[in-house]
Amino acid sequence: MEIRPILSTLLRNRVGATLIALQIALTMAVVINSVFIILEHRETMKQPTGVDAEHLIVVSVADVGTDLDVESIARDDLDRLLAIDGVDSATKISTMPLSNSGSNSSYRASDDDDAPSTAIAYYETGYLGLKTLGIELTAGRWFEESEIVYDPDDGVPPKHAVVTEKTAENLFGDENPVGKVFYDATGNGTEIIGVVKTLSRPWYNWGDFYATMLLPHVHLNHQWVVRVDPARRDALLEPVADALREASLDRLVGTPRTHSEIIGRTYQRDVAMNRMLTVVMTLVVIITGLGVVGLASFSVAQRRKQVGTRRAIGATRFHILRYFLVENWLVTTGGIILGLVLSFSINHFLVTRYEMPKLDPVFLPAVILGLWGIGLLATFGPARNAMAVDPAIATRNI
Amino acid sequence: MFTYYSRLAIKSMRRNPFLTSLMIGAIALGIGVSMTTLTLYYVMSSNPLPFKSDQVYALQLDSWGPDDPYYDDGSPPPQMTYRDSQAMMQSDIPKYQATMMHRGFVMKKDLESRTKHASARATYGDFFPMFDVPFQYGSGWDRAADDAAERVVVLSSGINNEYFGGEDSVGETIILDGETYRIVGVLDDWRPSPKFYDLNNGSFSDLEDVFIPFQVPISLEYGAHGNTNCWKPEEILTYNDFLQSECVWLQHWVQLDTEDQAAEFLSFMNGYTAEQQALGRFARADNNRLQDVMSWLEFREVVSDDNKLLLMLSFMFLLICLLNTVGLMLAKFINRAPLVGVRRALGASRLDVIRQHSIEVLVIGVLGGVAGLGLAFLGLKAVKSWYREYEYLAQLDPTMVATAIVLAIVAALIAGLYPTWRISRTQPAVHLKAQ
Repeated sequence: MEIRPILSTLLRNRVGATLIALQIALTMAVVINSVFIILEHRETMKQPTGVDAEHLIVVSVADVGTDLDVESIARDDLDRLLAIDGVDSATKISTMPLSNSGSNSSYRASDDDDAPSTAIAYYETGYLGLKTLGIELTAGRWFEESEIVYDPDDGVPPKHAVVTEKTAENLFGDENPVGKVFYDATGNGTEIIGVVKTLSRPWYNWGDFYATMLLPHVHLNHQWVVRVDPARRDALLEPVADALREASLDRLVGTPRTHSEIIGRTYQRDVAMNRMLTVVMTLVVIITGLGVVGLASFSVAQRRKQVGTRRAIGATRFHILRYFLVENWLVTTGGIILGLVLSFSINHFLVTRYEMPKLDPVFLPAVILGLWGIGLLATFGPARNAMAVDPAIATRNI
Repeated sequence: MFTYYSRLAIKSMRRNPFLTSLMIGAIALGIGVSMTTLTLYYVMSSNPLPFKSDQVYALQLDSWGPDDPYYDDGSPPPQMTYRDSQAMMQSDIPKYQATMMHRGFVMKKDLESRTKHASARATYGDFFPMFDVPFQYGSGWDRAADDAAERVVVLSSGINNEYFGGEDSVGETIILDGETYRIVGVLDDWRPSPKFYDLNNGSFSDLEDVFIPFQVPISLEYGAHGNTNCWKPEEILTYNDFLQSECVWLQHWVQLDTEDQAAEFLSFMNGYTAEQQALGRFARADNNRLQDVMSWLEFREVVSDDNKLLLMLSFMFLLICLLNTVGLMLAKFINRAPLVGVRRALGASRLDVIRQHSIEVLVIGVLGGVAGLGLAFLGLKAVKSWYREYEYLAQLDPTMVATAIVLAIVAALIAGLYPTWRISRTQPAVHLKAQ
């Protein structure tokens, strides 16, 4: 092939080639860093919560008054909720996975003050918690109805707990956790009676995502979570809230929301960021593509005579097409090399300055192939125009 | 001459509408994208207390445990314990001083009305003058009301509109968690953004519905709806245990008018630390800080790293659009070289050629800027619909409109620099020969 003549032509027309190569390089840096962040966010959002979010409706309730009997209020509410057609189960719960608010505390595997501690986020819930949330129990058992403590006093530690596999591992490693006791900061012990497969924390941005546990406590102002048929979920939002409102005029019932919506709100910022990055990335590719078309047309227009001369002395139409495509490929490749350097320097800057993760180059080949494709596609039109140049043009205007 | 060159520019742009619209489009897209992210960044990093942000400080008293500092970099905790904030309140060095917390109440207009949730800020009366809070009716409360935990309340204008139709409601009452509170003031429209004084529930969250004296929820033995962080393994069985604990959960702000006052107050804080160390508390000496509003916002990273990155990528995008425009202008101008050759031969100086083409570049820049503003407007609309917290942020103000136009013109001129210079070097002879 005619790489050497192409190179020497390029050297004579440095500005055009440099402009394209620079655009390709910058495009590559933008695309690679955007894709990287988008994938990071996606990875975060893909983590399962361990509950059947699409079955669940969540409503907050607040009762005002003195000497309220929490247990009878809770049982009364439960009866009202279960009477609704389409409701499978319901429970009071302190907070929900990925609702962005909750509690977290430190615990130890022994009551020795020097033993290492581990942070566990906890959910307080009633005896229908397992069934309502749809969590998978893998060892031991769930709380009996009689084990639930209503309106426990502040500072009274729970007797029993159901922990996640992750929590069990953090506390006791490979040992069977069922029947073991762990301790809070003041030395109160709690016995593990069961293990569930996964249950995520109420938040996702710090700590061990699956280090959680469930405790058999019910407080007055815990919210209700109601399990319904997913197909009828949206239609049941208001009936569920109405059933809870009936209890008392002094009761404050929050807006009923699906658990999916609550999770969506928690991830809203990541989703918005991903969309913005996708828009920027798409526009970058379009703009660069159009730029290459523009410059290629210009370079073809400028070299009509040269093309005509080559055709007149024996080059076929295919040779001409190949010439422009190879020329563009060389320029694109130059841009890609520059782009690699740029992308990694930007990532290096981000890693040192903002503690972002290091660029994982698995998707690099795809980006490089894509850029080659865009370059060739954008040159193809103008190159076809060059193919059509009449050899006779060479004889004119000299 | 200017009008003549402008006419020439429009004529030249008409001659090649595809290339022209490509150039204007490239600049418009670049401006649209970068102005969208710049507006977000600008509003997020704006000063919520413009006239006195350097006189109002957040207090950071390092009461954290001996094992590890609160932040990995050794910075003191962002909130205060109850006992320490009460000790700070005793100082009369600051002109104004207020400790505060946020929590929810169940609110009713009167006994017969339906309940609703009210977000409340419990703080000292100094909160209002310290933060220049505007009042529609009445005013805040005084220290006596603070000390006596009086049931008085300041309403936001929203609640006053809802309950009292926007009329002067000072002297009327509302019910919070079953108790009656006397209204002493109604706020005018006020929406500090970022909500600098308490960033726990979102940096741009809505203003509270009601404001009440700080000692009220304390007397009711209430905790806060925000962040409560504790380091010490201590038995907390009663509310008083909690108040005396090492848990940090209160925001604390002071106004110190001069640097001398600030230095004096900082040494007061350090003296307090020394005193407490003698009692066996406070692991770190002299690690106390006073952060004025802007440095506080930076410390709490109100503008997230993601936003900074997005801004950087958008400006790279603008750069790509510029490179694109350079290429397109070059193509367009060089196409016109024969014409320029004739003009040069007829006596136009190089400067004339530069002037003529610069005006064309300017016209392209202005058109690109205007179109870009339209795109930025759409972009901000999209961003708002994607992220609720940005709802109040994403607005184009006159500064941003001016910035967009200037940025577009500067961008176009930079892009036009090389093509214009190149075309001005046209040798008349070469092109005359070819005609």
